[in-house]
Amino acid sequence: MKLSADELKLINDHMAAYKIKYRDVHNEVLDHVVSAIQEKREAGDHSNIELLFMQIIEEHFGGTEGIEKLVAEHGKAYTRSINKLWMQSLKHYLTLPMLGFAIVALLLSIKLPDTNMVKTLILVMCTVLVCSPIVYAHFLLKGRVVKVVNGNQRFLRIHLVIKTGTPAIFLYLPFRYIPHQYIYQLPPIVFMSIMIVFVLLNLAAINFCRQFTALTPVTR
Amino acid sequence: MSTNPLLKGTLQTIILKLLEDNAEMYGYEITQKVKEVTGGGVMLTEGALYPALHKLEADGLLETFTQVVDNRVRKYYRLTEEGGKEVTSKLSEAELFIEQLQALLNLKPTVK
Repeated sequence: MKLSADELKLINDHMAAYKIKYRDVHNEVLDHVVSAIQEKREAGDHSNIELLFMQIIEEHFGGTEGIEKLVAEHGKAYTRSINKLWMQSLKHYLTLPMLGFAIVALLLSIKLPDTNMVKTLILVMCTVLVCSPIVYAHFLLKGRVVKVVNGNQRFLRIHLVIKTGTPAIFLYLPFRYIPHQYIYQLPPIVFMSIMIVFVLLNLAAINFCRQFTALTPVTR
Repeated sequence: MSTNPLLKGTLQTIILKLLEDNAEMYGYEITQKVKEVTGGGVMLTEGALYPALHKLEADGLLETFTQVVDNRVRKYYRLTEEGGKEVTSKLSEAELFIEQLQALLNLKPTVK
């Protein structure tokens, strides 16, 4: 038995009180509750809609606590899948050609002139490598993320920032606390090693974004 | 509504098997199907069902799509190719477990 527009509005209003942050979980709980109420009505239960709503939430989901747990579990599952995807992206580039590239780059860096300008240039390139995946993700996923993950878009950006930003913090901290003249005394090969790590992270982050967009579910 | 604690370890197997038999289902439909098949003997709690569905989806064993039904969004689940392969292995695991349990509880004599 279909519910009236007023009854559906009332259910929607009550659902809003639970502040479910993931849209797909919200929709899923809403669909479940409405389906269960409809079935109760078909079985001859014509109790007040608010009473039926509370009954379903309590009996099926364990009340507010149960819904909070459901939301938390969903967050964990999603984070796990994102981490899995990130590790796959990283492993994708941990290959022999990448190792060969690293060795060649390090060997070439031995020949680089040991000047502040060269080292600054490498550090600028590191900064570009750190920032570019975030810019890439922004444009690639613009207008698509909400459709793809139904409200989980913030996770992608958080994960990208964490994954690419953490090494940047390690890059930033020495500059923050160690006098620059000491850092610039290090040979170019050290700077080049850091840049290779950022190249790897950059490629992994871009691959991560591509795989993420490929996860578009079938829609009707 | 409470789930039998004995079901906990087999919840994913039950979901995968149901989706193998029914191609695509939504959450409420799954709970009702379990109730119907077991004559009301087994009730799935939604607090256990949905996290299990979300985990299977995150693990790439299920894929989802949405459909608008009576002005609300309904999320359907179906097996991915990987999920299809997993059903067979999960069922074998469950069968083996049941056999071992029967032997342990002396419900069935051991075959020599």
